[in-house]
Amino acid sequence: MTGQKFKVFYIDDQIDSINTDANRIRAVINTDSEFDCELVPPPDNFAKVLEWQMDALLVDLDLSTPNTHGQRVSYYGSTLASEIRVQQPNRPIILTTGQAKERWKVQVLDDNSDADLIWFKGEIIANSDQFRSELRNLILGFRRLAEEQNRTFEGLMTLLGAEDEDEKRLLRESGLPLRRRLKEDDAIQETGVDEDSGAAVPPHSRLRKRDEKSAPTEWQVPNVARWLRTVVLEYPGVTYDAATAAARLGISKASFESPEVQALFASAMYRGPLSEARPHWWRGQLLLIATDVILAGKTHGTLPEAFSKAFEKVHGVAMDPSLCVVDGSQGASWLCHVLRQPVQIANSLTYFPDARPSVMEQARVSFKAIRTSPLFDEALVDPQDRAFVEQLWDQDQ
Amino acid sequence: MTDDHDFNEPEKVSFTIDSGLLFQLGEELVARSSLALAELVKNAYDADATEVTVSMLGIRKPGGRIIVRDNGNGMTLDELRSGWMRIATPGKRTQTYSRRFHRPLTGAKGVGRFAARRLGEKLRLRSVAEANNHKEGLEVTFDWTHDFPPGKELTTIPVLVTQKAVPASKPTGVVLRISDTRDVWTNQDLRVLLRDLMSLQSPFPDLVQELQTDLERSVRDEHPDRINNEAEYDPGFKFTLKVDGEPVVEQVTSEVTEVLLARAVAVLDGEVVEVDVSDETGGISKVARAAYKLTLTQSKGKPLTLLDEDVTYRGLIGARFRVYMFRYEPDKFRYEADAVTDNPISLRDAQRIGRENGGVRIYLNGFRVFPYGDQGDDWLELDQTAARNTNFGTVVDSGGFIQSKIEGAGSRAFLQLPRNNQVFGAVMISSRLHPVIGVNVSRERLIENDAFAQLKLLVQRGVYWMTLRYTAFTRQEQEIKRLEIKAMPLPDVVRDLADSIDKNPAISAEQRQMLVTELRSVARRAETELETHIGELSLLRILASAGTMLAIMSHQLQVLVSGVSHIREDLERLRQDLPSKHWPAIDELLRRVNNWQELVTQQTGFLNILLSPESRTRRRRLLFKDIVGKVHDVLRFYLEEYGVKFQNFVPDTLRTPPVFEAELYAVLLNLMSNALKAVHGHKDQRVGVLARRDERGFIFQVLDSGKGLPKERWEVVFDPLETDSIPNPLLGVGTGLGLKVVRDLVSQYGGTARFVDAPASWVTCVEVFIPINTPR
Repeated sequence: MTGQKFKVFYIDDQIDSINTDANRIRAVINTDSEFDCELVPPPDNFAKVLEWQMDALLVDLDLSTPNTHGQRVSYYGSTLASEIRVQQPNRPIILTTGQAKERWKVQVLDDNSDADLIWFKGEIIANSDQFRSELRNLILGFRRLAEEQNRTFEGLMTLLGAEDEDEKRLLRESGLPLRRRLKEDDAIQETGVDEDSGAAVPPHSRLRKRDEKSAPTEWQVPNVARWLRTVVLEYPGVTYDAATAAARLGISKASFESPEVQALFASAMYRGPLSEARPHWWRGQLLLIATDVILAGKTHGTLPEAFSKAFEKVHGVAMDPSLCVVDGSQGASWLCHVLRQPVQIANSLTYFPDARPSVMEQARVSFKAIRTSPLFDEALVDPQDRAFVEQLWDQDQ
Repeated sequence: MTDDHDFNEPEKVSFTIDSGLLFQLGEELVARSSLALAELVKNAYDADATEVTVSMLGIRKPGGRIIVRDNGNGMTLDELRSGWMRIATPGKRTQTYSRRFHRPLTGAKGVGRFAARRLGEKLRLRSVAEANNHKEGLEVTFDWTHDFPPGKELTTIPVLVTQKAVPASKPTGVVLRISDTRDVWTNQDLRVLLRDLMSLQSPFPDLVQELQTDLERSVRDEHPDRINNEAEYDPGFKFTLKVDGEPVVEQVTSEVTEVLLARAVAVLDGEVVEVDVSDETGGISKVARAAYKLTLTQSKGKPLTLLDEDVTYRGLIGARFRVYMFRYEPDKFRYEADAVTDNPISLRDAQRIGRENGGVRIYLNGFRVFPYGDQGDDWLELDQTAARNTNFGTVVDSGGFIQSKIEGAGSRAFLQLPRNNQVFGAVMISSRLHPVIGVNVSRERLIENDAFAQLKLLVQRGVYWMTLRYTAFTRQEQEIKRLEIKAMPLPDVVRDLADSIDKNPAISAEQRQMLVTELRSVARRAETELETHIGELSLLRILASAGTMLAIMSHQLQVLVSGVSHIREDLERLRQDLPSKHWPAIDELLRRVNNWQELVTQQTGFLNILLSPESRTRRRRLLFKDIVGKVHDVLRFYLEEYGVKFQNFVPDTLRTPPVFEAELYAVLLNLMSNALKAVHGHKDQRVGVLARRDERGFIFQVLDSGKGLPKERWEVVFDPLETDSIPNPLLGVGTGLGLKVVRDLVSQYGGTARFVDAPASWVTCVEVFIPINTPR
C-alpha cells in the first residue's frame, strides 16, 4: 500500500436500490479506509473488462435481474469471472452469491470456476472483518506474484523464500502448477487444421500437439495463488500454521506465540505471497532451528520432549507443554483434525478428510473426536482402523 | 611441420607431482565431507577394528577437530611407508579381505588419506601395531597447508615420523586427529553423515544378512581357495558418533521390516548358478545362468521357478538378489486382528514407505553402494519404462524366452511392470567372487562396464518374469470373479453354491478355497444390492413421515421465507430514519427477525439431512445426543411458542447401532411430535429423551408429561390410522400413521417400538429398542 487505496470493482445486477445486498457489501468493504469499492453493472460487452483499472473484482453469480431499462445480460457471474481471468490474470476474483439454494452450485464452482474465493453475501456482511482480511491478502498476494519477473521454478522458490532443498523438493511434488511455455507461433494458432489429416481441430488440441517437451516451464499468477492457498498453506507438510508448529515442538500454542519463541523462529516464518491472512512457518527451517536449540541445550529425547527443556536451558524461559486432548499427557505432537487440539500419536488415528498431496503430512483424528464429535466421519479413517473405531465407541456405551 | 627440420638430441623428462594434487584428489574423489568421514570409518572396519568412535569438537564453525579412534590392527612404519604414504597403492587390490577377521575390504582405492586431507588442514596420525612380536607405536603429523603448498614437488616434502616401542598391554589401533577442520558442520550435515554411515547397513538387515550369508557359504563351498581358514571369529563392528563430547543418539529404525515385507504380493529370488550345458558336439560345458524363484503370496501353490537359458552371466556366479513386489491396494494392507498395538502399516503408510525407501539396492561385500535404490535412482529403468508405457520385454527379453514361458498374462501385461516405489530389494555381490565388478573412483557408483550391464539384466529379467507371472495369476483370479458375478443369484443361493463347492472333493483344495472365497464375496455384494432396495423402501416411509414435518415447516416458512430478509432490510432503513429513542424497539424487532431467519436455516438444514442421499444409503453409528439435539432445534420455535420444556438426557458419547440417519430422524420426529401434541394445553408441559445401551442393544425413550394413554391402547395405536392425538394448532391432526411408521422403521433393524410404564414424574413413555447387531 503506497497511499493508494485498494480499488475493488463489484459487479452486481442489483445496484440501483440503496437497500440491496450489493450496496450493503460495498458499505462494509469501504468501512476500512484502505478500500475503495465501486459498484458496476454487468457489462454488455466483455471488451470493456480490459479497461477496468482495479486491484480486485467481486462478481455476483446471478446477474439475471433486468436493469432500469429492462435489459439484462445473458451470462452468469462465473462466465464473466472466466473472461476477466483471461484478460486480467493478475487480479483476484471473488464470486458472491446470495441464495442458499445455490449451495450445491457453489461446491461445483469452487472446484471448477476461475474465481479465487466464493462468499455468500450474507456471510460477507456478517463476517466483514474476516472478508476484508482475505480480500487484502489476495490483493497483496497477487501483486507480489505479478511483480515477479522470473517465472521459473527457481524464481518462484526465491519469491516464496524456500531455502531448504527438502522444502523445494516437497513444493515441487505438491502439485506445483508449472506449465510448459508455448512458443510464439503456438500462441497465434487459435484454430487450425491438422497438418497430417487436414481436419479442423479445436485450439486446445492444437496447443497440445505443438507443445514441445523441451519448452521451458513457467508459472502463472492465478494458478500459483490458488496452489499456495489451497495446498501449500492449507495442509501441514511444507509449512505449519501456529497450532501445528506448536504441537510439533511439544509446546502449547500460547507458548509458541510468546515473544521469545516467535523471535527464535522469526527466520523460519513464511513471508512469501499470501502470507498476510494467517502466519505460517517453513517446516524444515522450523525443525532445524528447534534441533539447534536441542543440541545447544544438550537435552535428550524426541523433539517434542527435548525442545521445551532445551529452550528453557538456553533461553531461560519455561514453556507450557502441549497437552494431549485425550489424556492430558505432555508433549502431544500431532493435531486432531476435527478438534484442532494437540494429540499424541498413540491417542489418534490416521484420517483422510481431504485430497491433500501425498507429500503433505497425514491428518490425524483424536480418540476424543471419534468418541464425542458429530463432525467425525468414520468413513474417513483407514479401512483397517474401522474395527478399532467400533471398539472405542463400544467402550463408551 | 616439414621433414627437413633438424632435431636436437632427445632429452629425458619425467612426470612430477604437484603437492596440490593431494587437495585436489581429496576434493574431487570424495564429493561430500560426510562421505569423507564415512571413508575413514570404513578404513577402520577394513583394519579389523571392532569399535570406532568419531568425536567432532567445535565443528559448528571452521577450525574444529575431528578425532577418529579405532581399535583395529594399527599400522607399522613399513605399512605407513608403503601403503599410506604411497599414492595409488595397489594394496587393497591384491588383498581383498582383512587379515584378522577376514572381512571383505570396503575401501578399495586408498581414498581414506585424501578424505583426511579433505576434512581438515592438519592431521596427526597415531598408531599402535603388532610388529615382529612386539608392539610398535608411531606418530606422524601432516600440516597440509604449511608443508604441502600447491606448486611444491610432492615427493620432495619430508614427513617426520616418530617411532617408539610401546608396552605389550597397549591395545592396537589408530587415532586420526584432524584439526583446523575446513567445513562448517550443520545439523543437516550431521544428519547426512549419520545417514551415510547408517546406510552402510541395510534398511532390511535380515534380508541382507540372509543373502550375505548365502553368498559367504557359496564362497566357502565352491571357492575354498579364496577363504582364509585362519580367520578369527568376527565379533562385529560398533560405531559411535560424538558431537562436542555428547553421544548423538540417533533413532534410526528402518520401517522396511517384516511387517511390510509380509504384505508383498510377490517375492522374487534370483541367483547366478553354474549349470552343465551340452554343446553342439555333445560335450558338456559349464555356463553361468540365472535361476529365479517366485513366490506369489496370494497363491497357495508352490513357488515357481525358472532357469533362464537365454543369457549367460559371465563372472557373476554367486551373485544373488531378492525383490519384494507390492501392490498398494486396500485389501493388501489389512491390520491383523490384534494389530492396533502392533504398529501395523496402513495403506497410506506403505505408500509413503514405498516412495521413500522403494527400489533395489546393491550391496558389495555387505555394504551399500550408492545411489542404487535411492529415491530418484532408476538403475533398473523401471520408472522410465512404466512412465512411457513401453514394453519392458523388448528391452530385456528381445529373444522372447521369458515371454514364451508364460501363458495367460495377456499382451499388455508389461503395463503391470512395478515402479521403484513398488519394489524393495537387495542385490548382493562380492569383490572376491566378482572381481569383474568395480567401484567407481568417486565411491558412489559401480563402474558401468559389461559386468554391471549383466548384473542389471539379471535383475531386470527377473522382475520382468515376475511381472508376467503375477499378471497371469491375477487375470486368472479376475476371470473367476467375473464369471461368478455374471451369474449372480440371491445371496443365499450364492452361499449354498459356495457351500457345495467347499464340499466338492473333485476340485483341488487350492481352487476350492479360491472359489469359495470369491463366492462369499459375491454373496456380500448381493446383500449390498438388497440393502439398496431396502433403502428405497425406507424412502417411501420417510416421505410419509415428512408429512408431519412439512406441516410444521409450511406454517413457519410461509411466514418467514418470503419476507424475512426484506423485513430486516426495511427495519434497518427505518431505524436510520427514526429518532434514536425508537431504536431499542427496532433492535428488538431486528433480533426477532434474525431469530426467524436462523430458524428457517435450521429447518431447511434438517430437511436436507432427511432427504440427502447419504442419510438414506449409508448406515452409521450416530452420536444420539447430537441427533436428538438437531430434532430439538427443528422444534425449537414450537417449544418456545408454547412454553414446552425439552430435556435431552442422552449421554454425550452414546452411539446408536448402524442406522440410516434419515430413518432415525423420522422415528424421533414422529415420537417427539406425538409427545408435543400430548402435552399441548397441559399445565406441566415437558418432553424428554432418555437413552442407554445394554448387552442386548440400544434403547431410547421419548417421555412426556401429557395426558397419558390407557394401557389397553398401547398396542392398538401402532395400527395404521389409529390415533389418540388431539388436533394441534401447529402440528395438525394426527394421520394415524406416525407410530406405524416408527415401528416399521425400527423393525427393519430387528428392533421394537412400544409403550412402557413411564419413569417417575413422567406420564407417557415410548421405548425404542434396536439390537446391537442389526440385520443387514
